Amino acid sequence: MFTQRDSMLPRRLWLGSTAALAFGASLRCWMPAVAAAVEGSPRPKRSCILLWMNGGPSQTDTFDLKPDHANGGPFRPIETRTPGIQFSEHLPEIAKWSEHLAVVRSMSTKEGDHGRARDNLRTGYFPQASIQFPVLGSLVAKEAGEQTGDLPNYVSVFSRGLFSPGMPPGGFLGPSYAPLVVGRESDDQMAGPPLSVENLAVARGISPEQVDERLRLLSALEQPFLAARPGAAAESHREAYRKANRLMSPAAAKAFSLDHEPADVRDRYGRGQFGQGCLLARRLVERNVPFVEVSLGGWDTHEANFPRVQSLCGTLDTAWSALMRDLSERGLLETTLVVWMGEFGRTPVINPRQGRDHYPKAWSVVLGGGGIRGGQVVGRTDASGLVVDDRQVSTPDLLATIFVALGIDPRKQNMSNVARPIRLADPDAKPIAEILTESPA
Amino acid sequence: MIPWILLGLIGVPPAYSGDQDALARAIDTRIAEHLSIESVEPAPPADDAEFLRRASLDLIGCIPTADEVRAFLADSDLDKRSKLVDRLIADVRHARHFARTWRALLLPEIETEPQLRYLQPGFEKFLEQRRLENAGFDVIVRDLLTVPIASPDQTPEFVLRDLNQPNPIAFIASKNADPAKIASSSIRTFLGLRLECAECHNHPFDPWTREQFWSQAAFFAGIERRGKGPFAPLVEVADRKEISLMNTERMVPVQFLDEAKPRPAGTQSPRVEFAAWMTSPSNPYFAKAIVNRVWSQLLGTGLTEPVDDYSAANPPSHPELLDEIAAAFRASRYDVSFLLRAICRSEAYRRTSRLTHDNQSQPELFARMAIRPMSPDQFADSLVLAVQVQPADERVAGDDVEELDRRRILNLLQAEGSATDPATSVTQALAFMNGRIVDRATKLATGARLQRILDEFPDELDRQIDELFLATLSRLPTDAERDSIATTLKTEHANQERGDRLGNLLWALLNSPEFRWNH
Repeated sequence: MFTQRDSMLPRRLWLGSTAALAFGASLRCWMPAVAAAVEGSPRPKRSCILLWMNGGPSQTDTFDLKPDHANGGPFRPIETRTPGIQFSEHLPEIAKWSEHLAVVRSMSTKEGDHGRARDNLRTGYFPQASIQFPVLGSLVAKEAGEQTGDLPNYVSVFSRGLFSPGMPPGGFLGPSYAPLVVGRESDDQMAGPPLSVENLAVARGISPEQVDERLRLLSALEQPFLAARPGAAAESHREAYRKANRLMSPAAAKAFSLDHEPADVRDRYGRGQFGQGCLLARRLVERNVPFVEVSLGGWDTHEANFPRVQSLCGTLDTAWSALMRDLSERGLLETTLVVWMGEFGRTPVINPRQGRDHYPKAWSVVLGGGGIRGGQVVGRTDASGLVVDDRQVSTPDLLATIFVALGIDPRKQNMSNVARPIRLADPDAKPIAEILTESPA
Repeated sequence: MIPWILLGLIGVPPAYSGDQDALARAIDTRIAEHLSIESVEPAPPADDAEFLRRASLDLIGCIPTADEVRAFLADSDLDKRSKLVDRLIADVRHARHFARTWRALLLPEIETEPQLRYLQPGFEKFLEQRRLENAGFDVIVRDLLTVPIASPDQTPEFVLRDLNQPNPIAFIASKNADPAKIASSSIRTFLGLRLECAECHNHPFDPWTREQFWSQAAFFAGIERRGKGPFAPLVEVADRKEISLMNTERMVPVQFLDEAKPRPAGTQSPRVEFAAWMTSPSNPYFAKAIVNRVWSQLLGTGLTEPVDDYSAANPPSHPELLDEIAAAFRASRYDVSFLLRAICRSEAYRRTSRLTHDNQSQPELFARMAIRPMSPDQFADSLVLAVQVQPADERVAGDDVEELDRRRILNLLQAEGSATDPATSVTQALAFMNGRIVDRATKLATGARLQRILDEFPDELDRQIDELFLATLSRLPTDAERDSIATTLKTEHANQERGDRLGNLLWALLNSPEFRWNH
């Protein structure tokens, strides 16, 4: 037996081996059902990092400035690396990456309530007939196929408030495609440092022998119970424990540990939560995680919009530009799509509290990196910023564009919880062809 | 608009005169008819331990103690299951469980807006008290909808009162006192109808129009907040009986969904008439909606599924049965105890969750008991009871450790959506494998359950194993399980402390789906 086990031996290996010794027949339940899952479409060409601006960022103060109009506010535009394209003066670093970015200034959506707009932008659909629409990350995770290494397909960093309680994570695709959440949800200080996967390490004082014995006892106990109660719940239980064990391997745990990064790199991203979250996102896509989202909250600026947006832009500019630089230097920019978006924009008209309110009618998103023809602006709002003048883009159009950029056919269908096939993006969606490097199939 | 008559009142059955056994047999008959049409052999009855665990979780929100399991197994009374159900319903914990269950349905906003948690104790207290009085469900609904609100010339109604006093106004306050939200939420929960899709536009497949949606909201149009935020005090302009259709110029008057017009009620709030109409015995949806909720809570799947989506396009699995139970519930004056007793006496509720024949897995046939996730509260209370977390010496300044643990478990499980299918996430698996609560329970120094078992039965390994099974899985191990575990614990890793080894078993039991699920 493994009495002199090398403590660095990946956990997955010894878990598999000991389980095989103890319960030859039960080995199956701990090992991935690879054969069944690999069939079907090829893996997406690219990973995706979604920078989610929770609360709805002001387009007028970031990527669609109106310096000559009363709605414009105090921020001045600055030139970017691309002639003719201007960003806000508070985004000077990201302006240097404009050649790799496509700004869509003509988003026009229908929902002005945070929760419903968030679900709409993140799933691509409006609620209908009790369908549990999965979010973008889950859809991409599914297209990525069976998780290949120890890391999950979908990691959500600081996702507090991103998932409605009534909406099961993973939607109708099921908990296998739910995100692994990094960054604790609670304010509970005992839950560990803020940017970590909770409970990833075996509890202190528990020896490898004990872990081994525990897992074997569990396997023996649950086997007859689950066998007599086949179904989604049993599968979900087995799969969650299998994936959790793989995640506990030293290699996987290392991916989540920013201590392995040099101090100057960590500084470059900004030491705040969002900056470090972006650094983690880079570490994860380096390890082929297909979808990572990092959220930055605080954009709901009904009051005192300008100082708050300026401060948020500082955080954003530092982290995002460091991310672009790292991706570029490591040769990952071609294989990583970076998306910047929130649930809606904000009113061009400045309210009496020097704030801007919810505005879904005309707002901006930015796509960059892999699959995107950068150095472009798509669409236009009028002089006041109130209406889209040219090239209106809807939520389904945006999601379809993201899928195509990742190398995924947006017309693919999944079976939903109401036994009706649902396309990845709404059938009416038209990808924004002019910003894509590859034309939609 | 589809009139009531087409959607609901097809073949009204005779009312039951309060006889729960008669209703249970009617349930058996209807379920058996469908099983027979589908040629599905139902699973046999659950054994005593399985039934005790399930009924305890469903009725008092917690697993039984080891002593309770032993006593129930030893009881030779042939009618012990029905008597158990009666006993559990009479238990004070039943009212608390009822309050928590319905709080989660009525104030779901608490999960997303943490500050609303201040409303939780008073609201649960209100539900608990009403349940202890065995108030009819119609009474509870009228209480929630007609809660007194001061007129504009009086002192505004405070929303956040003494935290632990019964506080029914929390329902309206949690909807931000928004007429549209109050209307759509109460109609969804108490009538099983989804109107909110008609808030913004007429839906091609739904019978409800936008005007109808706003006519419902109009009943609450007089409510205003004095100030900002969810705790702002409320006033009501009681004679305001119309509302602007989604911020347009158009005003929509109060009108019931069956197109009846409310009687002009002078200065009385239109909410009173709305509540009376909603809970009237002639409203065909009310009894059905409540019955269907309670049925799905006990059997894992509603007779209509989703439970709050009753429409012509989504018929019930057993339409006659839903009518019959609803009629009996109405006849009982919406007596929740009666409804629970009747369903818990049915064969469908008493079946094992084991698959014994093919085709038993279609949930809407009720051929075997569904496996259900525990609610966060059920799980937290069961875990605390099973392991007896008890580290008096670990008290964090001013905090009750047990309550702190409960909160942590609640947070963990609340983050994970679905109430119907038990689905385990990686996050949960990590928490149960490595988290602090299970860790402390499974170490001898901090695990009260382990300490007690080792003190009481120091040299009896078989007995130690039995006690751990009883405390966690609410059953004795099978002989094969006991032998195999005893062999493992005796022979493997002899260098481990015996407390550690017993802790390993407790760890495995707590991580097993048999512990985590209501089955």
